[in-house]
Amino acid sequence: MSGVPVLEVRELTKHFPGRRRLLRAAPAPLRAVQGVSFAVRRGQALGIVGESGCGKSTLAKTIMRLIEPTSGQVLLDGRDTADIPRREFARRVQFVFQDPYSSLNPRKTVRQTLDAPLQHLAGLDAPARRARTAQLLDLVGLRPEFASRYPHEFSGGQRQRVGIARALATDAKVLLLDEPVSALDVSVQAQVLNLLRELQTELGLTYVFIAHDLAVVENLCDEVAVMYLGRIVEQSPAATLFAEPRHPYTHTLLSAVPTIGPGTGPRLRMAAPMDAAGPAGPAIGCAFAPRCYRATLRCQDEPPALDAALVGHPVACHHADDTDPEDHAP
Amino acid sequence: MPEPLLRVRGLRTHFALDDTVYRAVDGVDLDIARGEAVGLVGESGSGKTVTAMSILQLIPDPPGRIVDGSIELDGTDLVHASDATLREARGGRVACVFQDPQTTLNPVLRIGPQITEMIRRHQDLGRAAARERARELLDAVHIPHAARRLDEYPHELSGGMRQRVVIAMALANDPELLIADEPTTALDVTVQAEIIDLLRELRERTGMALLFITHDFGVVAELCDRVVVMYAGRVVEQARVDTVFDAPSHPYTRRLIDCMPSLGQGRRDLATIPGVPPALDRLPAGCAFAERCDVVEEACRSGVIPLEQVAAGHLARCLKPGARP
Amino acid sequence: MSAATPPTAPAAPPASGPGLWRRLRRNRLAVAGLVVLVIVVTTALLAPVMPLADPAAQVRSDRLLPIGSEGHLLGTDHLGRDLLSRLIWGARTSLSVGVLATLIAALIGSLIGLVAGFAGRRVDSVLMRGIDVLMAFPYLLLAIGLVAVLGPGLINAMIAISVVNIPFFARAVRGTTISLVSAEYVDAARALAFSPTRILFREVLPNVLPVIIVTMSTTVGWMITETAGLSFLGLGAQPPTSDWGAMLGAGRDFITRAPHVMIVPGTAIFVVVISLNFLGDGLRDALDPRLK
Repeated sequence: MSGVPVLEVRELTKHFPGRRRLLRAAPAPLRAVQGVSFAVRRGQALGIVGESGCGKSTLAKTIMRLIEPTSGQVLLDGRDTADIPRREFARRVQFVFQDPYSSLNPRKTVRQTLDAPLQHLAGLDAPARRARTAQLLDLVGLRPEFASRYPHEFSGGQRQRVGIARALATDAKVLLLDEPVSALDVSVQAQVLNLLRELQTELGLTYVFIAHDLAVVENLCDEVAVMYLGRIVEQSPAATLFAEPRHPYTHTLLSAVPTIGPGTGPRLRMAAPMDAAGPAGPAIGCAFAPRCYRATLRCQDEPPALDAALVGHPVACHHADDTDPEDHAP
Repeated sequence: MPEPLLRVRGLRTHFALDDTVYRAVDGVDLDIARGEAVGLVGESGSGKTVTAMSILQLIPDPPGRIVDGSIELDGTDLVHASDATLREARGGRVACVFQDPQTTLNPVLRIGPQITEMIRRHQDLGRAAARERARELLDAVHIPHAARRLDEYPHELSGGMRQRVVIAMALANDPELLIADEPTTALDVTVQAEIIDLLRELRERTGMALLFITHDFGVVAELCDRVVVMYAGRVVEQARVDTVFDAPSHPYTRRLIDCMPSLGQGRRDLATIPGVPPALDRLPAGCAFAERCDVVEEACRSGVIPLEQVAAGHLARCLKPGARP
Repeated sequence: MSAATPPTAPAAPPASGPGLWRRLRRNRLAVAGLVVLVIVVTTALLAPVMPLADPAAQVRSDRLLPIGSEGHLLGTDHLGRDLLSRLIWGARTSLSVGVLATLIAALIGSLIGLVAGFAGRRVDSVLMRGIDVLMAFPYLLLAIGLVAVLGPGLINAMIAISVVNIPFFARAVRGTTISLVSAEYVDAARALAFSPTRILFREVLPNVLPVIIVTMSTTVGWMITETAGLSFLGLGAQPPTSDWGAMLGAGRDFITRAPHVMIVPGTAIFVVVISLNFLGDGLRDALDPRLK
C-alpha cells in the first residue's frame, strides 16, 4: 500500500448563496459542506453516512467537480484536481448515480451509452470500442446482446450494472458512488453489493461510498465517516465505528436501524427530536446539540473540533468519552 | 376463531395494457383480525401495493380490474359495494398512508383545512370543533406547536413532519384499519424509527388494525404481529413474525431474509437469489419461484401449488416447506 | 412508484419505432387525418402530371361557372379560371409555405428554448424576456406589422408567420429542457467531461425531440390558416401565384352571387387543418403516453 492516499480531500467547503429576492436582504447561505477533510488509500472503501440534507451528496458532487467548491482542495494521487485537465480527471475518477431510472439516457442503447466515454475520453476506434463494450458488459455480469437494448428494457438492477459499466469504461480507479443500491429491491441490492465488492478486489478500485443505510455501508466499507449538517463528526474503521461509536449522533443513527432476529420489537431509541436545527444550524456551538442527549451548556457555546486523540478514530464531541446513563448500544 | 375485520379471498387484480394481461395479483387470501398488525412483504412487482389498492377499490379501471375474488370489511363486501359504501369506508373505517407524503398533501392548502375537510367529510362537526379535533390529532402524532402548524403549508414542514400530518389525517375518523404503503421508505432511518414508534403507540392506544406494506423485514420485525410474504402476485407464506425469521418455510422467504445485510457482520459476500421474478403476463405453471429455487423438484413445475398449513397459524405455498439445499 | 402500473410492465419506451405506429393506429381520428393528408399531398405533388387546366388561364366567357360544370368540376372564378386546377396548384403553395414556416419556427424556437433551459440564469432571462416581448403583441397584428415592414409577398408572409410562432416552440422546449437538465444522465455526461454543446445536442435534444414534433404537428395547421389569412388580406401570395388564402380573398366580392368561389378553398383549408389537428393530437398521445 503506497503512502500517498489516492484521494484526499482538504478542508472542502461548499456554500450555496441564499436566493436573493426583490426588496429583501439576501438570506444566509446554505452551508452544505463545511471544512470536510479525509483521505482514502488505494483499494480502500470509505463510506460516508448521514441523514438526507447532511451534505453527503453535495460533497460527492463537489469532489467529482460537478459543483465548484467554495474553498478547499481535492487531491488525486497528491495532485490538486483543480490542476488536472477535466478529461484526464474524468478518465480516472467516475461517478455511479443513485437512480437507475434517471441515470441512463432513455434514448440511448447501452452501446451508445458506453461508446460515448470510450470515444471521447479514451479515443478508441470502432472495433476497439466494440471489444471493450463486450468486455465491460461481461465485467458487470450482463449478456453481450444487451448492448443493443434501451434502458427501459432492463430491470433496476441491470440498469445499475450499466451505470457501473459506464463508470468503469475508461478504467477509472476511483469511483464515487452516491446511494447506488438504495433504489433497488433487497435481493437485487445484494447482487449489486456483491458485484461492487468483486470489482473492487479484481480491479483494485478505490470507493467513496455515500449511503444512508448503515448495514449496506458496513457490508462494503473499510472506513466510515459520519456526516452531520455539512461536517464529519466521527470517522473510524468500520468495525470500530459500529461496535464502539463515540459520537452521540452515531449512537442515534445506529439505534434507529431496524433489525431482525430474536428480541426485536420495541427498543430504546436515542432522544433526537426532529427539526430542532435546520440545515443552517445554530450560529455557534455544536450543530447536533439541539438533538443531543448528552448536550451541556458547553456544547451550545463552543463548537467541538474533530479531534484525533484516539488514533484512527477522530470524533467531534465534547463528551465523546462520557459514559452513557444507560447502555444504548444496539 | 372470531370473524376477522378484513377478509380477502381469491383476489385477482389484472391489468390489460397493449393487448397483454398482467396478472399483478393472482389469487390472494388475507385475513386481518381486529387490532392486528400485519406486514405485507415483497419486492417490487410482487403485487403488494396492488393488493392494498384493491382493498379500497382504488385500482384505475382501465387498465386494471378486479377480475375475481371477494373483499369483506366486517362482513360487508367491498368489491361490489355502492359508491356510498365505498366513500364511507375510505378515510372512515379504513384509512391509508402512502409512501410519499408530498403527493398526499395538497401543496397549496394549509395543513388545518386539509385535516378538517377529512374530519367533516365523515363527521358532523362544526368548523371550530373540527379545527380543535385537528389540533388534537397533530398532538397525537407528536407534532410540536400543533395549533401553529395548522396554519402552515406542507412545504414548511420536513419530510418526517409531513408524514406525521398524513398519519394524523388518516386517524381523523378513528379508522378500524390503517393501510400504510411503504410509509417510511422515503425517510431517513432516524425519522423512520420515530414513525414506527408512533404507529406502534397509536395502535396500542386506539386498537386499530394495521396493514403495513414494505420491502423491509427489519421494519416488519419491529412493528408487526404477523407477516404475509408475496411473490409474483401470490401469497407464498404467512406466519407470526418470530416464526418467519426463525423458521421460514418458503424458500423465497428464507433467501430474501438471507439477502439482507445486517449490522455487525462486517464485510462479507451477501447471499443472493439468482434470476429475476417471472413476467406477470407469462406466469409459469406450478410454483412461480421454481426457476430460482434451490430445492426445486419436478413436481413444482406443474399444477397449482396450494397455500397449506405448515403449523398452527403458519401457511406456505410450497411442496417442500422448510426444505434446505 | 405508481401503484397503478404493474411494475414489470415495460416503462414508457422511446417514442419511436413500431410502438409509435401501433399506438397511433388505435386513434381513428388521427388515422383518418393521416389518410386525408396523404391524399391531399399526393394530389398536390402530382399536379404537374395531372390533366388539369392551366390554373392561370383566363376564359372570359366561362366566368363564375358553378360547381359541376362541363369541363370545370369545381366551377370557375370571376376571371374564368378553373377552380379545381387552382385548388390543386394552390395546395402546393399553401402546404409548402405552412410546412416551411413551421420548420423555421421549430428550428429557431427550439434552439432558443434549448439554450435558455440548459444555460439557465442570465441567458435564460434574456432569451425568455425576448420571447415574452414577441408574445406580448397580438398575434395577427405582429404578422401584419412584419409584412408591412418587409413588404408583401409569399416569402415575407412565411417569415412573419415563422417569427410569430417562435415563442410556442421556445416555451415548450425550454420547459422540457429544464426538467431534463436535472436528470442524472446529464450529470453523468458532465462527469465524463463532455462539453456543454455535446451534452445539449447529444443527451438533451433527443429527449426533447418528441416535444418539438408534437408542437410542430399541433401548430402546422394554425400556420397554414395564418398564411391563408395574410394572403386573404393581400399580404401573402401575389398574382399570378395563388394559394388558398388568396383564392378565398378573391372570392369575397362574389360571396352572394357565386359562394362556391369561397366555399371551395375554404373547405380545403378547413379539411386540411382539421386533419392536421387530429393527426397532431394523435401523435401527441402516441408520443407521450403520460398525457392519456
